[in-house]
Amino acid sequence: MTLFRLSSFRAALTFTLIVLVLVGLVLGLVLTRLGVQLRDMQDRQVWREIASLSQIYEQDGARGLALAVSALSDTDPGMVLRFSSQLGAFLGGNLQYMPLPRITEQKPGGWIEFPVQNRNMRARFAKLDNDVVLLIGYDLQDRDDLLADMRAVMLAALIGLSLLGVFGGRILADRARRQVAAVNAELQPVMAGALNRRVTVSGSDEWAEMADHINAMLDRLEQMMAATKQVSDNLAHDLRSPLTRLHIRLQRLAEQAEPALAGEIEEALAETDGLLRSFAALLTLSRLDSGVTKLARKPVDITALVSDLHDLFEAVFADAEMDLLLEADTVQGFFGDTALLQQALSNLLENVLTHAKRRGSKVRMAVHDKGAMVELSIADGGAGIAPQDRVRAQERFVRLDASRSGEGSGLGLSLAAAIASHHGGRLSLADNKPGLVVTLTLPKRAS
Amino acid sequence: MTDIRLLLVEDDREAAALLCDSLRRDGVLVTHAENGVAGLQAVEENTFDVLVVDRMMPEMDGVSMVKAVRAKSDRTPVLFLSALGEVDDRVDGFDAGADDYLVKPYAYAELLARITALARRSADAPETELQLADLTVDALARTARRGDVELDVNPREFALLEFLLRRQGQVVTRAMLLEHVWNYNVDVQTNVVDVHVSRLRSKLDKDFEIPLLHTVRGQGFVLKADK
Repeated sequence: MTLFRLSSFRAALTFTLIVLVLVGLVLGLVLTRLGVQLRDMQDRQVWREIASLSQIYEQDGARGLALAVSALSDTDPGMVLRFSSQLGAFLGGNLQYMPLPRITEQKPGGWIEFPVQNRNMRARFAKLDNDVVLLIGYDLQDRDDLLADMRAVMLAALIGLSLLGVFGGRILADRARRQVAAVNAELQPVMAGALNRRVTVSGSDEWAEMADHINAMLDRLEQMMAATKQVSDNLAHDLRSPLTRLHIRLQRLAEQAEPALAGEIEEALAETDGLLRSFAALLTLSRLDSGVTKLARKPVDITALVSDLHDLFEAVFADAEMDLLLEADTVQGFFGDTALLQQALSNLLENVLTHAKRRGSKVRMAVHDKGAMVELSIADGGAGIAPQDRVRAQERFVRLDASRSGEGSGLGLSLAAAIASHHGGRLSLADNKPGLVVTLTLPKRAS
Repeated sequence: MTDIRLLLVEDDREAAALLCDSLRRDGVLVTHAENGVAGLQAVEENTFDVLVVDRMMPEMDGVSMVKAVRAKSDRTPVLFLSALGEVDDRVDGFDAGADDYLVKPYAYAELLARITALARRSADAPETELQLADLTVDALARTARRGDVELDVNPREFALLEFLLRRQGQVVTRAMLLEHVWNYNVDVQTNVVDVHVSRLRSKLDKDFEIPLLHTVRGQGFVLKADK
């Protein structure tokens, strides 16, 4: 199973994604706010410097200002300072030339931004008096570097978070998958009919609770199956014994009766036979379905089985002017129940004889070795079954051609299907163009 | 032909009474026991040619009883009667030491044919040269001839002929042929066996004055020289 099909993994991924988006939003907001705050802080610093320089200029004149400016640009290399005459002639500071207008951006509040040697500066003019204009600002690069640094750290945090989400989800998913796989493995024999098996309960978590529930359900199921088996065994015993007596009485009557009456009694006997045959088939079916019958799983020479069956039926088909052909691979290593397989195949052959009888048609019986599987098929040249009726045809007591109400119990195909699934395989119907192909696909070793 | 001494172990009294009555008419000496314990006691006290044992009985079922009989090295042929008819039950039955197995409801003719076959078998020695009137069969060379004429039978027809010939004079049922000639243990509705028998008959009897292979209506087939 791929990781993405596991619900716990998908849940972990979804959760991680939501957290990532939220954390990303918060961090983005923080970064933006931080940028604004830092700018305001530095802007306020510029205002303070302007105030203090303006005071120095008032007290000590241009000379005092020049000293203060050079002291300031020495102590803080991130500051940009220039004072000039009203006409722009350089008087002092660390910026020899005025920024050119074409590289200068006007910002709200009278601020300007311009590059100096590839570093962005933010500054403003302050007119100290009619003679002196001060340009003062600061290097934006420090703030940008700090913000970039923080962005990198936050991005790393986000990547870490997503990795944690994926790997954590994977670990959780693996854990859940192991728990489910353990339960599934323990349920496998139960599905194959071993209703006495139970799931191991360990600890007291939600898995243990589920295992408890499964076990309780299996207990109930086992009781019900036991009751069903009891009922069917009782039925078998209680109904077959009187039917046997009825059979014996009818036979004795037939022997003693006059010819005219004997014929009637023979008919009654035949009816009883048919009834008992359906009854036996139904009983076998319910035992197969319920898993009461364990698969015998003995080595079966399936090639010999099919060729014996071909040998047995070939003559009847020839009598009906049909050709029963055999196409058999040599199959080795098949395990199953000989008698059930004989039953399934002879049901299918008898179905051909009752429902797909067509003079001169060929009926192909085949065994093909498909590696781990064996395909047994019988293809006739009869009327076939319409695709929409194929599922219904496998149901019990269903006879598709209403005109043949007297023939067959309607259990033959259901029984063959039940026998196939008892062997861990399946029965499928397909078009033989014309006619019907019935295929039993069986694993060589049913698990 | 000496009378067959038979022990019927069956808990259904009514069925047992009917069966005993029918068997006696056909010249079988029947003793009836109602459960496994009584059956075991009867086996210890008398000698029987065949035991017919019901599988499901109160007070020791059929399987336990037959196991107990076999444990005493008693090889008397056993036929199991069962209402279960399940394949695994059948295997259980043979494992316990049964020689034949019949599922209820069976035709009385089927039971009688099988009882006769089991009783005769205990007396038979495996012969390789078989004969009936002018029919001779060599089981080793796998050849069959009537008088001087060699019969052209295929292997399956030969197996059929040999099986019938080894039981000459006894009625052999369709189910017995299916089981022993085709190794086929399930119920077939169509007349598959009849077609094979009639093919064999055409080779065996067609050009000869005395027919050997006869159909017994409602029962099966018999190989015999007299009509």
